[in-house]
Amino acid sequence: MDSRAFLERLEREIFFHSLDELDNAADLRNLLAECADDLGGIPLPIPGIGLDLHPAFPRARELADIFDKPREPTPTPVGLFRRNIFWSSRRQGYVHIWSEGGELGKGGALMWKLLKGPTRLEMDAQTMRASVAWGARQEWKAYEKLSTHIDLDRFKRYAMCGMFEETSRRSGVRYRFRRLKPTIAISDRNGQERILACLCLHPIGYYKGSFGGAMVPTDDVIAHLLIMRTDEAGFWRDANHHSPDSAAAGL
Amino acid sequence: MYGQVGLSVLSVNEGDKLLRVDPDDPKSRERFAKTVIDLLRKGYLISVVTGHDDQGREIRAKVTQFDPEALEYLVENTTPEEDEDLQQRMKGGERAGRRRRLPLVGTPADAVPPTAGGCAPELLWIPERS
Repeated sequence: MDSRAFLERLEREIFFHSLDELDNAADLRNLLAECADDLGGIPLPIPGIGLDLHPAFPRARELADIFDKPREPTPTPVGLFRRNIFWSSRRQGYVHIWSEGGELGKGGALMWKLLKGPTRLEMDAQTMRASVAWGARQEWKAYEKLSTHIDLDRFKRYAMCGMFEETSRRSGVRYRFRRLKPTIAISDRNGQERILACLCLHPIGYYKGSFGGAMVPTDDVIAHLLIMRTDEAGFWRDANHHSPDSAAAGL
Repeated sequence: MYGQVGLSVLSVNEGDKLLRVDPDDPKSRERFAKTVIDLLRKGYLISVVTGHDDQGREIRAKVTQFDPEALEYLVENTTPEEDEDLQQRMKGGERAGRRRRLPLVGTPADAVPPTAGGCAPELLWIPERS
């Protein structure tokens, strides 16, 4: 390494060190980085917040259970079948439908109940609680990386507003990528702007009841952008689709 | 970043992590090939830049395999233009496949860990027998 490269690296390390000084969990995060046997790293479990991890992730179950003890599954009564769970815009809640007593039309009966999910306010509060998991150093690196994938105009928009847009070359769908919120898929057909879905997806895992993933917020945005550009159909397949009027959509 | 040969991996603890490879060093090549094949097996999405459109935006493709001998990524066509070109060639009687090879050197690549989907309402209701 020549002296110029050495000085540049030194300056960068000093800057990152100063960022770590602001961060109470930096030591713990660095320790986890040393222990990780997977390149994706190890998410930080937080007391009081459940962690939902990809099942193939190493030690996913053990990590998720550290602060979120698994409850005994409630046995399903014999003869009852879960039919569906869906979001009702009119009733502003999730409708659970079960059937009892055999097939419909042959003496079977439907039962349903409306359950309200967490509000946007509660999800925002949970996101703030989850923020202890993210480091300023990692977020800074994510900003640097994002700047290599989008032009200056959109990067400035992201820095100022926390969102930017890109239209898919394949489908023509316009995507609005947002920091700590699901990506909005917008159709501009016939000059009419219409939301198709709010797509929620986190690499490795996410903190339950929040908008936050295991990775720093901008890394989640980069993941959305790269997956959309590379495998748009896979992006729609893997993401959870939230109705625009549900709290989870973050609108 | 893209002046270097390697693969950029999104990581929880370290942010962006760059796996470097020296194409002239057999040990480095072997280590790198093993890592890439392992990432593909674990379900990582490896995305490579195949070109740029007229607005300067990246055109990307998904890596389906890695050839450790030739140090090449095997990708499938992703753009409408590539699909159209493929159809034209096949109409002309040519035996053409969707898969093509991209050299490791000079091809920017990023890896995204497998996704856990997104936040879903954790609501459970089990009715009692009537």
